[in-house]
Amino acid sequence: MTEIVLETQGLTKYYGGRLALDHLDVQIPRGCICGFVGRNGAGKTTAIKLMLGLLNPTAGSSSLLGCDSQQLTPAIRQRVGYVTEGHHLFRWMTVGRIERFQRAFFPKQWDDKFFADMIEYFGLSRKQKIKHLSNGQRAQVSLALSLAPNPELLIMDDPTLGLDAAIRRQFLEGMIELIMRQGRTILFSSHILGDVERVADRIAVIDKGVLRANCSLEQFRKAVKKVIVAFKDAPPAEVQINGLLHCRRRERDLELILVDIEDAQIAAWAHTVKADGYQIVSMNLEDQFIEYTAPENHRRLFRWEEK
Amino acid sequence: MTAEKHSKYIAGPFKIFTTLLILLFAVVFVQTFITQIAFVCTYKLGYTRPAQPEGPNWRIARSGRYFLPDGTIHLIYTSDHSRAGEDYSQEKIYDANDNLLWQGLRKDRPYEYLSWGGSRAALTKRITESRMITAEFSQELEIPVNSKEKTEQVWRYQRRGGFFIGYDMKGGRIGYISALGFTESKSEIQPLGTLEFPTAWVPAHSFSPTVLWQTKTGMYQINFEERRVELILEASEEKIRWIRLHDWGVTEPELHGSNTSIKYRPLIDCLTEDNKHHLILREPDERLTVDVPADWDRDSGAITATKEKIFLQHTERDFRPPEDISQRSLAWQRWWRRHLSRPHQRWVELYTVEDGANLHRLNRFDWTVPAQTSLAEIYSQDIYSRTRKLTNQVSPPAYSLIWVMFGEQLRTIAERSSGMIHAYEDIISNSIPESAVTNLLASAIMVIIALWHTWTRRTSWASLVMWLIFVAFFNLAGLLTYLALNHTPVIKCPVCSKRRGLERVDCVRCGAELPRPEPTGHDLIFDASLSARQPTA
Amino acid sequence: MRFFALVRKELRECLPWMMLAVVSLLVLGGFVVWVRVLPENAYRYPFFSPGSTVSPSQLTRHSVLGGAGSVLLMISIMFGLALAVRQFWMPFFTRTWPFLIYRSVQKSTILWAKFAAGTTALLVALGPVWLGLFLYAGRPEVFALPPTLRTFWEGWFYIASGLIVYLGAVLVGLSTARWYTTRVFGLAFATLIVVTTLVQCRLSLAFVSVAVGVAVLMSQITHTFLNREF
Repeated sequence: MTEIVLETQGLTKYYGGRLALDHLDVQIPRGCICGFVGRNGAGKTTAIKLMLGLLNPTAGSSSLLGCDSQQLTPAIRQRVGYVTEGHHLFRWMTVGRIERFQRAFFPKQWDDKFFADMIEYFGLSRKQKIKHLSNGQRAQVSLALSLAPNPELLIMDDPTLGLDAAIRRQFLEGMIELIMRQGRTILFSSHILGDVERVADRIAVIDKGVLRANCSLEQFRKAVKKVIVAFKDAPPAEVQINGLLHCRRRERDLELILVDIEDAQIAAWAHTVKADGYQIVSMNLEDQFIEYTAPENHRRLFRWEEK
Repeated sequence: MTAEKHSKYIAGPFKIFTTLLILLFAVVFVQTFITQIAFVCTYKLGYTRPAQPEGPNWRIARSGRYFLPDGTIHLIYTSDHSRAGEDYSQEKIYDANDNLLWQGLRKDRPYEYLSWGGSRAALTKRITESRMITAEFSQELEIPVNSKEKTEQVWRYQRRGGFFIGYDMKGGRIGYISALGFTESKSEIQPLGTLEFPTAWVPAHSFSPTVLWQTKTGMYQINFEERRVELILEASEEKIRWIRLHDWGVTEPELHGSNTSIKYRPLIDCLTEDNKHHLILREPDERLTVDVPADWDRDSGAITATKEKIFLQHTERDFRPPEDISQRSLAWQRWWRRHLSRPHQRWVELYTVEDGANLHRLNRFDWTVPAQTSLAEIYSQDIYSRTRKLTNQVSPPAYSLIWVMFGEQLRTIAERSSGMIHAYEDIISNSIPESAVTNLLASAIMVIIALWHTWTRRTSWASLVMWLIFVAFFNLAGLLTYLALNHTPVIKCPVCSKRRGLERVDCVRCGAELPRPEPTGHDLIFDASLSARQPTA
Repeated sequence: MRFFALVRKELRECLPWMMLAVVSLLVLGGFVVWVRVLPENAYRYPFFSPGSTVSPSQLTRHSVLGGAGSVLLMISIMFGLALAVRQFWMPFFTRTWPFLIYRSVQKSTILWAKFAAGTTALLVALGPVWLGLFLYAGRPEVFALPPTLRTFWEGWFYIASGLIVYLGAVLVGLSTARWYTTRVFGLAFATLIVVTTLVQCRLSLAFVSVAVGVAVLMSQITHTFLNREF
């Protein structure tokens, strides 16, 4: 039985009268790298803060390492690393000073050598002040501060936000370094699906506060498909096929977004509607995510995209 | 986190307390602001107050009564009450038979009347208030000893020990002045006693003040320049009720105001609790005890002394409040208003004190004070009074209840406290509504509003009832406090479509919990049963 | 160790304001005292002409340190405000609350570390300077009449006023209410307490006033902080 390190049950959050998170049920097993993705305002940061006890839920509960999030003990917090969104650190501190500050809270598990190696790897100096660092450098310091205590569970809220490709790559490599250590679990939220694709083995998709997908990355990749069905004449007025998410009509073909449907079922349907042929278009994770979370009356922002 | 849960039991009541306190101040401020605007409209912008009743009885009742040294009484009527007592106020002087003798400006009065000693209650208050901390530290009582050119010494009062310490202007200590006089050693000090009030004057041929130091049981005269302490009065058996001074210490005639031709003898009139006037006179020095009739009101006598005679003025009315009711209580006020609502008799008598301490009456004047109910009714119709009545309807019923139960004690505390605390007490006592019925009606409206607000947000019946009682008790301030602390968001219940709060998990209307989102049919929720990633070599 | 790490961090953040407060009080307070010491401003009592009446109000005088008291009160209040803003308002603007709150300590430890640092900063910055001014004014060659011990304790009430304002501003910073509703009530209550303290004639009542203010504000701050969302 795989140990569950992070679990939420019916986690709900209202901001005033606005529903931000609606009955989130998610389980993260030990050793898993889970990418937490969603559109802007979907509720990712809210969910993470609820899990860490920084927010109070309206209903439901969550637990970290078996401890209720609203009553996290210092001992549990020592085992959980947290990288905040935007990497906001104390600007007046130097890198060395913030290291000493962070180390005071992990007297027994702080890895001096690891931190030093990371700083050196990132090309940072201990004497540099946080306020003189760029966004990317601050992110590196933030990651080093989170990894040096050797946490069992690492939670990162959009850690690569605003970073360029090179720094993002370095950041991900740092994550991989942690992954290499046995039994470590990572939950991170991101807008950059490429990063998720690189490192995650589970994906949780949240849309308007509701969990829409919680599966392995492979399952998600296999489940969301784009199919172009061609017709000799006009396509049929009604399209009835299992797993249909979106349907876009063109003059002589249909573009279908299908979820959780076998290829054989697609073939059978195409035969039924007397299609001229069909093609399953390859999509990257980003395309799949966009199609999966697109609203029903999908309207493009710029009309010239359709031309 | 037990600390998080337990902290609300202490912080909760404190939060209610601070919010209520500030909102009570805010409501009082708004009430005062509105009534002051009405006051300006009533009195400053040309609004004419209803005419006061006229007639000889009213004029006599409003006139001041003054005696000439031969015992003749004159009645002085000032038509412009806003300038009464000022040199340029218009006066009319009548005799006892209501004949007009003279009219003109006060400064041109052709008559010189006897003047009487005064009390120092206001000055006592100022001495007390000098001890307020303020933003520049409290003040100390310091008596300088001056020469013609400069200050030579300063004597500072030590409140704790009840004595003065003298300093020369180089910072050295001179010695101590206490009840035993001047000493150089602190061990020989006897405290002067708690100060009731000081009076000071500068003797002729001196530039330094001499102080009359009154305590509860005696009076010292302290000359700092000569370092001499004289116990001039000691009331060992009966406590001193009050002390009035007349011309004591004032030696220059031009400082006597308009009574420049009457030669007064400096006088201290000390009334003890047994209703005896103990007189200390100078020029020549003399001590005298005057017994007044037992049926006289204790505070009805005033004494003055000229070179020829000692006069006593006695003023009375035909009713007295019961002695067992405190003057600060609401009961006393109600009694007073009841008796003023009917006509009553007053009189004033002038006596001379002769043959030691016998009283010989020179003159008596009686008059009838008309009922003042009509006056009160007239005044209650103006904009200011009506506005005040209206704004006071939102005052908490708690004010009335507290005033009934503790009004006397509160007034006593306020009178002894600084001017600011007295002002607070004044503002609050002016906010007490006149009609309990309309006040309770206003409270009921607030309760209904609070009930409407809390119905969708209630978490428990106990909390709901507690807040309703709170609002009823504190009226508008209570409602605002409730709203400030309980305006939580409401949503439409997805099950019954009625408004419900979010403080409870279940809907207060239908009992349903917040429903789960409907599955879309495209959800990819799979069991998290993967094993942990194995580290690669 | 964790608590002291937090306290050190907080004190370091308060350090520039501490230095500013010390320098301001030394310069302004010292200047006010120096002006009083000048021969042309030195002790001047009212001149009384022979045979005149003296009002009792002419016999009472403010302390020689009166002007310095106003300076101390003003600096104390502004310093308290600055401390509260630095410790409790700034993290909202710099968004460092989540980093700070997510420490391996109890939430109350973080709060008490901030309080300890704030109170220490207030006392350490203003206390010695006030003591120095008082001792200086007590020297015979400076003023003929030394300031009284009561003046010394009243100065500490001015410093306590700064503490009250600090707590009031902290409560304002932590409150989640709107500005136009009850958010500023913390400072309003603090103002009320300061005024109540300054109108007292007895030091014992002033102490009670301060104690009540501190208790009420601290309890609310503790509850708000422990239950607040960051």
